[in-house]
Amino acid sequence: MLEVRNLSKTYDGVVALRNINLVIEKSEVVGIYGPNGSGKSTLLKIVSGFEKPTCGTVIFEGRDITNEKPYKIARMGILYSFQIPRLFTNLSVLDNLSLGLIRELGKFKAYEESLKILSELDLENLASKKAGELSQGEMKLLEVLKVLISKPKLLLLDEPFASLDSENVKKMLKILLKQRYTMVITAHRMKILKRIASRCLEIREGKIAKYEKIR
Amino acid sequence: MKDSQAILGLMVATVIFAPFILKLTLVFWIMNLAVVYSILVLSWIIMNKYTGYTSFAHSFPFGISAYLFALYGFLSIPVSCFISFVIFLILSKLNKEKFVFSTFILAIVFWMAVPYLTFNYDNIVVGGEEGLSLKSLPLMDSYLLSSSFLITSLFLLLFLEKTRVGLYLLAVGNDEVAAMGLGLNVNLIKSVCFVISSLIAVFSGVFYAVFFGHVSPDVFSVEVSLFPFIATILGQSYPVSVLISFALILSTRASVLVKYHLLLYASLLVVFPKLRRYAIARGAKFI
Repeated sequence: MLEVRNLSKTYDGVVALRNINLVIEKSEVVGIYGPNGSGKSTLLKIVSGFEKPTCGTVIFEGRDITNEKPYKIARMGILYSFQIPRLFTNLSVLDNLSLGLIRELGKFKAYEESLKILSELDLENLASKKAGELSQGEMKLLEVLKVLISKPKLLLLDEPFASLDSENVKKMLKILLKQRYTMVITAHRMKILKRIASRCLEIREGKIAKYEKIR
Repeated sequence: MKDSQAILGLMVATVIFAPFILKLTLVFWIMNLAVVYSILVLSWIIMNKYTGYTSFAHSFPFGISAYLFALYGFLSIPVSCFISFVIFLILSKLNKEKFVFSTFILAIVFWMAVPYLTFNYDNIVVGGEEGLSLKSLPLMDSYLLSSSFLITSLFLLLFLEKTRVGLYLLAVGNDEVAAMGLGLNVNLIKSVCFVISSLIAVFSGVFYAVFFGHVSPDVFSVEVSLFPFIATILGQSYPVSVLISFALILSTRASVLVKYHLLLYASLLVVFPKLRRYAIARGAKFI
């Protein structure tokens, strides 16, 4: 489904990624772990189009998407959830969720679908609240739900567990374990990824240091 | 929110229809000016709210349309709109901070340059510091035209926000990177906003020209550039900002404040955000 070939990225002479090669199959959940600054987020940002690689290519469903714009990549079905939540803070939680669905379903059905998701997670009381008024944990959940609701072909989750308390980690796990999408999830440590991922890889200093098959 | 918007809409309508009840020429005159500036404020908010760009160059579409209308009539509307759109689009390629400064510089440059612009019109040199004259509309007609335009635009915009396109616009204005991540064509949405904003500002310039029957280089002045910013800082939303711009024009033009209105604007800009923070900290809610 996704193939990354000889991908490298440098920022003002500092190497963030070195010659990364990676293949992700359909329905696979790949966990990427590594310390801060190892290049995990850079890899996801390049795949989603928010960063351009210094060299190398990204192939999605047989098509070279290396230099495509982020919105075109999103329309192809690759959605990226930011490490630091980027929500529409002036809009309600319901509006934030509906935005990803509205083009396909229309406003009414998109709201209906969003409310359904919120009530499944016992979060319907947040529906009319402005996203900017949410707690840190709720923002993180909403950031993931916002992309997840659009039923993407490939979901890129950048540190979904970072800065979450144990209660919200449980909620996030509950959400992610229910999904059947192809996913790439990054985290600092492997322990939490092992519960979701079918395969894990470690990135260190911009290089893939270790592969591990989980299940 | 819906109720408050309806009440504000009703207030705007009441303010607009007041001169017909009072039937005083002076009231008509001042209200007409207030309507023209309110339309300009509306055009400014559209750009600010839906693209996140703060413009100090709305005096440009306002002034250029007034000038071109005096010279070429209705042809000025599409031409001024296109020129303004292209300028805003080019400047928007800079980041949002640079956009603020570059639009301010543009406004100053035009304000300085226009007094040197002269036109040969039927072998008579016109323009320069004197500006241009044209046939004005009767006060009542001019007022009806501009006030109906203001009310219609205001309600269309409030309606637009309830639609799918409105939600896209609000999302892009709020966080364009996040909007891109959800598959929204941010550049297209921003361009649509620039067109709508330019068009409404162009209409305010045309209404100004037909109201006064004369256009001077002052239509490009810094005061015109700053006015929408001041009204929006004080108003924060469409209906309230429009009301504020009304109040500002009325209070400064119809009283001894006329000499000191810039001082009043400056004081409001300094004092109001502090008062607002103070009120919010004590639980006040603004629309």
